[in-house]
Amino acid sequence: MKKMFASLLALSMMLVGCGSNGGDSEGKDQEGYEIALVTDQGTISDKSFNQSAWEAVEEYGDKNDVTYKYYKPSSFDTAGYTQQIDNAVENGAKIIVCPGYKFATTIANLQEKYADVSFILIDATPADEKENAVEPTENVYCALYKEVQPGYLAGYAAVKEGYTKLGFMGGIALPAVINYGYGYLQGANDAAKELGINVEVKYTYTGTFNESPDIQSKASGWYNTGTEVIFACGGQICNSVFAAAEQTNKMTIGVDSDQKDASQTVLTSAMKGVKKTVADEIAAVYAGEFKGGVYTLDASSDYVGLSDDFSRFKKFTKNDYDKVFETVKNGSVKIISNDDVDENAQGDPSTKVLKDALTNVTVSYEK
Amino acid sequence: MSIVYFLFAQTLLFAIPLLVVALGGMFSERSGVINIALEGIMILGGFFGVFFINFMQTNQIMSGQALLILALLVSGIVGGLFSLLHAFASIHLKADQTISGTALNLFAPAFGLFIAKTIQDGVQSVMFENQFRIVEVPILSQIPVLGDLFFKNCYLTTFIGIFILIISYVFLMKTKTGLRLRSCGENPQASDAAGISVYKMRYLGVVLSGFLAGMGGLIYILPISTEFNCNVAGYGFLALAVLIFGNWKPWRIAGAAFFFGATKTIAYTYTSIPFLAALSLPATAYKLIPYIATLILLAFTSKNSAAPRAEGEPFDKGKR
Repeated sequence: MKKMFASLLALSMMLVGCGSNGGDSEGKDQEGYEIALVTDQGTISDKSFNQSAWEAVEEYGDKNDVTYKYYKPSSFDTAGYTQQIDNAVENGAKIIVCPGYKFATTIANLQEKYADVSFILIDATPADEKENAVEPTENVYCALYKEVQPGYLAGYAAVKEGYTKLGFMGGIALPAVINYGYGYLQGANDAAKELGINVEVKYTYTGTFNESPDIQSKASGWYNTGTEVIFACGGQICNSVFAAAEQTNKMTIGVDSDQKDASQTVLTSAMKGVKKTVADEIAAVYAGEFKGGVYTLDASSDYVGLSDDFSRFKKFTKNDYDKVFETVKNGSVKIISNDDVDENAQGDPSTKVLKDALTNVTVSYEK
Repeated sequence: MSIVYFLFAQTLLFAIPLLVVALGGMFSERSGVINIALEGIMILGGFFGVFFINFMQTNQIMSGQALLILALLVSGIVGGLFSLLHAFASIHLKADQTISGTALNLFAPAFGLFIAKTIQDGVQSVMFENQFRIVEVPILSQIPVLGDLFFKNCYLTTFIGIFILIISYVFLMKTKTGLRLRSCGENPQASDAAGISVYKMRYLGVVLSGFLAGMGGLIYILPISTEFNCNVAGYGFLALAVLIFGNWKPWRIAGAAFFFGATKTIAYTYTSIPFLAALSLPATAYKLIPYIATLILLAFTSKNSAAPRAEGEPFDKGKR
């Protein structure tokens, strides 16, 4: 018995060991692949950053007859990413797309080694193991997004749709999450001002990015006391909010990518234009216009916005959206972000700067 | 009034999984085997249940309440099989029951994630569509008060949980096998002398606990999410607390589970309860309630605590 166990154990070790050497990949069957995508956690059909980025790669490759391939790390950490980037370069990659903040350290380590490869890094800037920022080299394009803008549009759309009791549930109070929240409040405020009404917003950070019965409970509580729509902003917590919304027949707003398929309750999603970013930068490389550095992308070049499916709105239309988008785009509305408030606010929406701006919104902040 | 119904429904969401898992723990402990692996069994049971639902839903083979019942069975059977490991180690090999339980707890989430990632091409969370909520039960929902409390916006699992409670009580307290099982947890040597197979009884206890804990894992996850990440947020351990708090007796366990459910509900929804919201205490104060209340209650009740006497002791025939 014992021997059998031991040999089974040894066998399973070997299997696991083999598994981690590989990593799946797929693409056109030719020698060398010029465009490479190394996936972050999840697959190329994750309805999130990986998928958006992959669609852009595929479209460009098919249209311009360039070879492409994606690489899936066996582990989603710096070692796994490094291995697949090495792999991609060996296979002749000229462009490597890295969709996700987890690539920060990997890029910092490799950007000089592979100086003639262009990296497109989404939602992150290079940083060393201790999270100290590292200056990106000429061949690294870092895309950051102005989250206040899609947040603003989401809040605006919700109030214009006729909702007067809104909710915001952030994950952990990090700048990206805070900016979504601040934008949301100001969007709701401006829409309320135009309509001449007052709206109430319940506002909280759950302190986690994972789903839990506590969040479901809290969201149900909000819905049951009148909240009509909750902006669920932070990783997996949306699952709990969706569950609560489905139980009470209320609405939610998704974040980062179009989440309309995740639940019927998703009114719209506040999105980052990962697909457009990747498509534009790949084109730039081939046009010889690629330039490394950190770029904060915003509405002025259509990199952020709401999802383009308006079918779940009853009152708010594409036209209304285009109008408000234009005001965000040309900068005629000033949106206060995390950088503009007291640096000790830590996401608190009731600091003076923001409070003064919110004339038609009553925020109840639950710490 | 609607706030009362809402709070009650929310309480049930917390209480039913706790109740089912704690009843599972009760069978194991009353037969004399400590089972701190409840958490791990919940995870694995929930995982395979959700996986089953995912498979059936994506291939559109089944849906609705029938799928729920089948999935619960799958969870239960997986939980039962998994708990056999614990049973084998602690009954036959006379291993330290705490350690073998801990091993299961460590193993379960890792194993679940490994399977999920292998099958789903690197994705660790298993998605499912929650189509199991019953908006209202025909006829029964028309009963005043009770209809609103139990038969609107409810889950089949609530009734299953209550059914399990009744069955457990009858089985443990009113049947011959139940009596024998209990005797093995009190004085296994005497049971052995009376011709009862202590090993068999303990296996039965542990497997039953695995079955119920596995089901509990699925009951836990269904109403609160749309995907499963091999995580039950410590509910298995909470169920152990409920078990001890409930003094290893079915009805008291039910009381304890509802008590926990109610206090946890208050902790997270106090802002929706008018008079509590008006108090404006910090949120942490409410989150402390379940635990402080437990400490106080335990301090008063633990004098009469009736833990099975032979709990945690491997059965040794030669011992007097």
